[in-house]
Amino acid sequence: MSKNFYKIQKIALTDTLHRDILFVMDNRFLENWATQLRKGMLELCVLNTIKGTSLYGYDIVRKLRDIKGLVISEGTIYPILSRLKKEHFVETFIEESNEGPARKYYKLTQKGKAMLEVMNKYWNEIKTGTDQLRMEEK
Amino acid sequence: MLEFDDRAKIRLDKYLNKVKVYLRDCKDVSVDDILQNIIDHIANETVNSPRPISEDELEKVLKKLGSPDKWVPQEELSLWKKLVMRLQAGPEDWRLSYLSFALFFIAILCLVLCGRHKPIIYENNVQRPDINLYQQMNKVSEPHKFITVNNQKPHNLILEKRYGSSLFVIFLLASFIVSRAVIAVAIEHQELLGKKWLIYPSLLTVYVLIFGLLMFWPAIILGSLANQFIHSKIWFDITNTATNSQEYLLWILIIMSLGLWWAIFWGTISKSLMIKNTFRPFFDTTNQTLNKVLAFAGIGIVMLSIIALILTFYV
Repeated sequence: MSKNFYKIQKIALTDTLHRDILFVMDNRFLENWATQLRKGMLELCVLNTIKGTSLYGYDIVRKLRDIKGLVISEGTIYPILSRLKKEHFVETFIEESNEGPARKYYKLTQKGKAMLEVMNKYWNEIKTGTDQLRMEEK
Repeated sequence: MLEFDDRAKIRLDKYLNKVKVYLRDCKDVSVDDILQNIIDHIANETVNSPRPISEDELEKVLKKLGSPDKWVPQEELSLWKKLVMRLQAGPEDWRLSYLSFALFFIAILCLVLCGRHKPIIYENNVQRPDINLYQQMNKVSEPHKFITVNNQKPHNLILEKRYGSSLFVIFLLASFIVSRAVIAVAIEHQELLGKKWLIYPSLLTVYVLIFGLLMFWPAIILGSLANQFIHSKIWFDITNTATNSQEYLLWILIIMSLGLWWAIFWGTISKSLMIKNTFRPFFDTTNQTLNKVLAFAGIGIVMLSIIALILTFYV
């Protein structure tokens, strides 16, 4: 067999390794990173969704699932709402509905509004800093 | 009003139970709130679906809702659930039950095979099959470490017997822990189904031991204390009799303490959460009538013991 043959085989093997193994590893890294990112963002997004209005739980899910990449499991929103309620950032009230049984609506408390303001400010700082890093010419 | 067909109803019940199981350990969420939200979510998603809602329609909604085990951050899960999630890699959740049974089987094998051999005793490097283990025990200064015969270290087989018992305990405990992990995620008794025959051997072995200690600990402790008291000078000064004739008093006291403890246990403690959690799943549902009968039996034993005591002093 010629040296070229072995060289070609070596390149083919490296490509296979990259495609099948490293690609999987890259995907797993991306998935983990995205999961961590979503964890922090969801609470901020839920509070921003309710800001200035009162929303039914299902409506909150509908608004957030339109944001690409934010919501993987729609059910994750409900434990977040429950947690925010226990922290007294949101409160609930029941309102009769023409479309069916009475609905539970969520709205921000004063404490929730103050916390949201702090969180939005923090997010703006991080976003500005991150955007600057991306734009920097190197 | 939500209407489901039979299969959809079963599927929904399973899903909601799974939500309860996984959110049970989260202190900062209200499980009831979340369950209500899920029902409302399903109602809204299927508003245009024909009634009763079929399993396929429900499955579409549940798929988008996602599995409840993904809703809880890993750090909030209990130790049992973390262990289960690590071991459960796929849809087949019988794996743990098989593991439990395998560990139990190995435990029994260790006891049977490694405990079978009689220790071989060597004296001056010559085998002495005529000398048995117990004869030599008197010459041992540290019986739990090793046995010497004429200051010679014995053959390794003597250590094997001890390893057999130790390995039995280790594997039994491992099997027990895995069985408890299976129960931790079993949603209802019906979920255990065939799995229970794989996990019950290790559970029952450990539970019988714990239950025995729980039922008879007054006899052990009080009996020991009473025995010391009855053989003390104080007792002799009070009764001015030989201790041998007072042995039956010791037995009456032991039986009375057992009766009292059984009355307390079956009357109150057996229904407590601690007992239910310790002996899951056997104490999950309690038979009130049986508990009352056993409690009254305990009271009856106490009464009979008091009568026996009174008769002892006056006859």
